[in-house]
Amino acid sequence: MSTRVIRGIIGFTALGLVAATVVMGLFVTPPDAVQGNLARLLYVHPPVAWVAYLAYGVTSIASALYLWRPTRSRRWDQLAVASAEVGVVFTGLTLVTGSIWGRPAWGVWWTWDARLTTTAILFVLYLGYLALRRIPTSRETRARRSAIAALIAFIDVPIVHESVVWWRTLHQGATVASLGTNSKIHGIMAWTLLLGFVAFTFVYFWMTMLRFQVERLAEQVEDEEFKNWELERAAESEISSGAIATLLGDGIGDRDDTLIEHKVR
Amino acid sequence: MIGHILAVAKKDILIEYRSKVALNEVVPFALAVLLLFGFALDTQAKVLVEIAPGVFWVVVLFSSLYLISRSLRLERDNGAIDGLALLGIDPIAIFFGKLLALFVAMTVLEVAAAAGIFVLFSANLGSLLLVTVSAVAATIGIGSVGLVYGALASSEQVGESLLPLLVLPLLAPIVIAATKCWSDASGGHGGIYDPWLKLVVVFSVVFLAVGAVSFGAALED
Repeated sequence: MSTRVIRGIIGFTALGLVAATVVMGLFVTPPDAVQGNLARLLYVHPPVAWVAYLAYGVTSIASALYLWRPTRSRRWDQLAVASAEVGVVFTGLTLVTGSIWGRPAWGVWWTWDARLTTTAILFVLYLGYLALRRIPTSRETRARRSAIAALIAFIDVPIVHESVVWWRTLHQGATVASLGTNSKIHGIMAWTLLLGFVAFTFVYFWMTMLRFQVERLAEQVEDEEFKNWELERAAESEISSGAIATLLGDGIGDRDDTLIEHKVR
Repeated sequence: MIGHILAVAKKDILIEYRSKVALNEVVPFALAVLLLFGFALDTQAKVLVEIAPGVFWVVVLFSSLYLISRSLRLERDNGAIDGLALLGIDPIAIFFGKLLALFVAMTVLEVAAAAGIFVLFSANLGSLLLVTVSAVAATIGIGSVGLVYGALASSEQVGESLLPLLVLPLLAPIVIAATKCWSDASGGHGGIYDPWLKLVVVFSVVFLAVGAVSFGAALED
C-alpha cells in the first residue's frame, strides 16, 4: 500500500470519528448535572490538549534522533517540523476552547492557573521554534539548530510546569484518571470522551503525515530549482566563454584561459 | 581548560571595558525602564513597593538580552569565533569563558538596577543573603540559556526580535522563582532554604549543563 493510500484511510477515519464525536457529544450524551451543556466542551478540550502534548513529544523524539549521528536523517527533521506545526495549531485550539469554557465556568476568559499558564508558555515557546526555522540558512544548519532548540524546550517544559504549579493552582484536577470503577463521570460521557481522544489522535496523524509530505515535496522542488539554476549558469558561462574565445581569437594568453576555466566551473 | 576559560573571559571583559557598551547603553536603558514603570503605575507608593522584585527581574531580563546579543555579535563579526576554533579552544571553554564575562556585565547591571529600585520604588531587601544567592543563581541560568539561544539565532539575516521570542518564554521559571525569592526575603519569611531558591538553583544547574554540552553544536556553522 502506498503512503498516499494509508494517509487517505487515516484521513477518512479521522473524519468519521470526529463526526461521531460531534453526534455523541452534542446529541446522544445527556447534559452534565452541574455544568449543564457547558460540559459538552469536555469532549473536545482535553483531546485537543492531549494532541498538542503528543505533537511536541514527537517533535522532541524526532529532534533527538536527528541529533544522534547514527540515526541522522533529513526525515527526522521533516517529521519534527511537521509535528511542531500541528502542535502549535492544537495548542492554540486548547487555549481557545479553554477560554470559551472558562468564561461561563469561572467568569473570566483567562486565569493565572498552572495549566493555563504552562500551555500559554508552551505556545510561545514553539512559535519561537517555528520562527527559528524560518531563518534563511542551509538545510543542515537549520535542522541542527532547530533540533537543539526543540530539545531545550523539551527540558524546560517540566521546570515551567513545576514552577507554575507552585506559583498557583486552580484548574480542576484530572477527572478521568482511569475509565474503570473510579471514574467520576457517567458511562456514555466517558466513552464519548474516549472517542474524542481517538478521533483527534487520528486527526493528528493525518495532519502530520500531510505536512511531512509537503515538507518533503518543498525540499524536492528546491533541489530541482537549484539544479536547473546550476545548469543554466553552466550553459550561460559556456556560451560567454565561447564568445570571448571567438572574439579574441588566438590572442588569449594563459592567464585568460585559466580565468575562463574558472568561470565555467 | 581553566586557562582557556579565563582567556576568553578576559578578552570579552577587556572589549567591554574599552567599549563600555554595558555601562553607557544597557544600564541607562534599565534605569529608563524603571522610570517608565513609575509613570505607568502612577507612583502609587504601596503598589511600587509590592511589585519591586518583579519589576527588577523583568528589567534585568530585558536589559540582559542586549548584553547577550552583543556578547555573540562579538564572535560573529569578522569571524572571530573561527579564530577561537582554529586556536583549538574547546567550545565548552568558550562557553564558560563567555558566561563568566557575561556574568560580570550582568552583575554590574543588576547592582545598578537594584540601586534604582531602592531609590525609586523604596523597595526593601529583608534577607540580603537569600536575594544575593538567588540573583547569582538566576544570573547563571539567564546567561546559559541566553548564550545557547544567542548562538543558535545569531546570523546576519536574523531580526533583533527573534532572540527575545526564543529566550523569554524559556526563562519564565526564573522570573517566577527569583521574584518569589525576593518577595519572601522582603516579607521576612525567607531563609536560605526557601523552596523558590531551590527552583532557581535547579534551573540554573540544568541549563548550565545543557548550555555547556550544546554550545559547540549551536555555534558550528
